[in-house]
Amino acid sequence: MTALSEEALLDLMAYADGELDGEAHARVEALIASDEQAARVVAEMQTLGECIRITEGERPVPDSVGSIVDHVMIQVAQIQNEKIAAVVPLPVRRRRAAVAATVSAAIALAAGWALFMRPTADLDNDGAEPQAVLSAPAPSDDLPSAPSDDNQASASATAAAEPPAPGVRVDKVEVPGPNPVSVFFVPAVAAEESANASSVIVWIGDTPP
Amino acid sequence: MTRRPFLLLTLALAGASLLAPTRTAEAQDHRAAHAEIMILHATQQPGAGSIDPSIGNMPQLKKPPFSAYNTYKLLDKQKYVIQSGTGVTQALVNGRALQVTLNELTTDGRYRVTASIDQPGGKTFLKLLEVTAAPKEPFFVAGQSYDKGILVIGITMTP
Repeated sequence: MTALSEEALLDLMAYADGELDGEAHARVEALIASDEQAARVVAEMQTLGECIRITEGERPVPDSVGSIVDHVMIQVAQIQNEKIAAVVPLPVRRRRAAVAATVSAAIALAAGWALFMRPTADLDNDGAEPQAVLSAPAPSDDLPSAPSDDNQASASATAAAEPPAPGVRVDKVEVPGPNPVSVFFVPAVAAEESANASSVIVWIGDTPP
Repeated sequence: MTRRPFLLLTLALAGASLLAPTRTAEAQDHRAAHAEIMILHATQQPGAGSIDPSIGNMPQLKKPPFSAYNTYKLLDKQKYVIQSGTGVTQALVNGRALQVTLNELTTDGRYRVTASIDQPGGKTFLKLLEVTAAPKEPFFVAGQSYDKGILVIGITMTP
């Protein structure tokens, strides 16, 4: 099985979002039918998209993190033709069970993919426990979940999947209080290969006290 | 007259013998690593903006999410030798303190590193960031508000 090209990944993402029609739609359907990996990616993306649609409607996001994440998404959309990797938002599930805000994320660093999450430490006393989980393009069954009995008022993000070596793997992030956390993976770009071409960015919203 | 060169040579050799074990030990100590910590100030300026040349080659700054800001200035750059199981503390310009600890060197040559950021008054901004990093692969902690922009902390581990 050969790795999917970046162009193919973008097409698959667009297909999963229902943005393709006509020839492009038919081309991607043919790819899905003939490539198990492509089919799995689409299934993952559709699952993630559904989770995001569910959670985005109910989770308030502070302006600070909302603006940066939205800004990033806009930028990524604008420069995809510059071989920037696609950005995949992680889904967030909420539970009204504990004060803790624990976020777990598994980031599978598939070739050419940049993933980010915005697990908000939403401590609005409603007992929210957002969890962000992503594994792409691994099967959904492999997705880890965050511990549910964490009573600390903290946001914790865990990225557990193995990045391609060399690289940086974020194992855990804990941020007390309501400050939102986003984790970005910036993959290496072939044209700019250097010793530090790929990296991980942990973005912590600095909300006023 | 003939003793002076000999004396100088003796002193030079003595000095070299004092320095050599230190360098050798440092280079051969597989439980230690270098940590380069860069503190950048990111702002959005009118026009195209600029990246401080002293930052060096850091293409990440031109990509999302860093491209949300168009101007980066190097505020501080320090390099430490950290023994496994120990850490270093660096003061930040916003009054907070960054602590970086080398937990271990993995068998595949990576570094398990933790970072935390404390702020005055005993409060914690970043309680724990735990990463496993390959040599020369930077990781960043960004987002702290500072002077109409944000702080970007870049940490790179090297042998």
